Amino acid sequence: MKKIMVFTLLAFLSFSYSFLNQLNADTLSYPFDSITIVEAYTFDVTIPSTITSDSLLFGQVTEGEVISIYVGTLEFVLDGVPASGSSQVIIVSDSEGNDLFQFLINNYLYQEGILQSYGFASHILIDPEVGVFKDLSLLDAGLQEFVVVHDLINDAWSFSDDEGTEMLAMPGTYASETGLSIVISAYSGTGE
Amino acid sequence: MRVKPDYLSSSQHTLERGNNMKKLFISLMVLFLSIVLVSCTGVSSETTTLSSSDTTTISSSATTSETEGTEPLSQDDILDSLSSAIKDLFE
Repeated sequence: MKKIMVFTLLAFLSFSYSFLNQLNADTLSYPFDSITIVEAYTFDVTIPSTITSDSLLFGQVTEGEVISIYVGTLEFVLDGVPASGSSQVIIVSDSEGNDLFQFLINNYLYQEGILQSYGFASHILIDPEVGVFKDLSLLDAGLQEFVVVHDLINDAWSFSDDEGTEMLAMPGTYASETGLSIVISAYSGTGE
Repeated sequence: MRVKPDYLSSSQHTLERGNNMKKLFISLMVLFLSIVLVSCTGVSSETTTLSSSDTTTISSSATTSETEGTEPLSQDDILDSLSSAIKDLFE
């Protein structure tokens, strides 16, 4: 009798746990209908000779080419109300202004007084009906992540490709805009 | 006929243990049923909130003349729009 009760209880607990997990996984979403760009900055870097053939940039750019890095801070809005915090996007453009990559932020590291590090990855996806989410199945092909570092000691910026090749911002190319309120609609036909 | 005191004591003890186990089992079942009930209620209300938000979005969009049949933009379209807007800032 005692064993039956214990097994029944364990079975019930397992069922309850898996049921609740499933419910939560299915229903957690943060929809939005527009995105507001609140800050943005840019800087240029030069492609070094040390770039590896495994780099995402390999074949897209040439040694010595100057590429532009753009980063925007985003806020998601639903019915005029902030929906789910903020995010960031990186745009990597070649010397002719063509976008090579557009990734959303994956991680952030802050060491007080030393540096701020922002990782942007290809498996971070965006959907107006769901929000920003991770598709871990995309990691099967390996992590594709670019990193932007703000050196707080020297107030210098750098960009690293997915293979960790660091490229320092070219002097005089850093520029930023703050206090922005540029609204991008997430639905077709609603205007911007 | 006399019953041996030891046998009587052991029997009572077993009965008490059995009753305690049943009480414990019932209490745990009630506790977890309560947790499941509360959780399901919470999830249901969250779902309702999200659904009503979606409906509100679609309704408010539909009231403007240009937004009939509005659909969420694809990831590529959204990122392209963001890219254009950000790059325009620095040109």
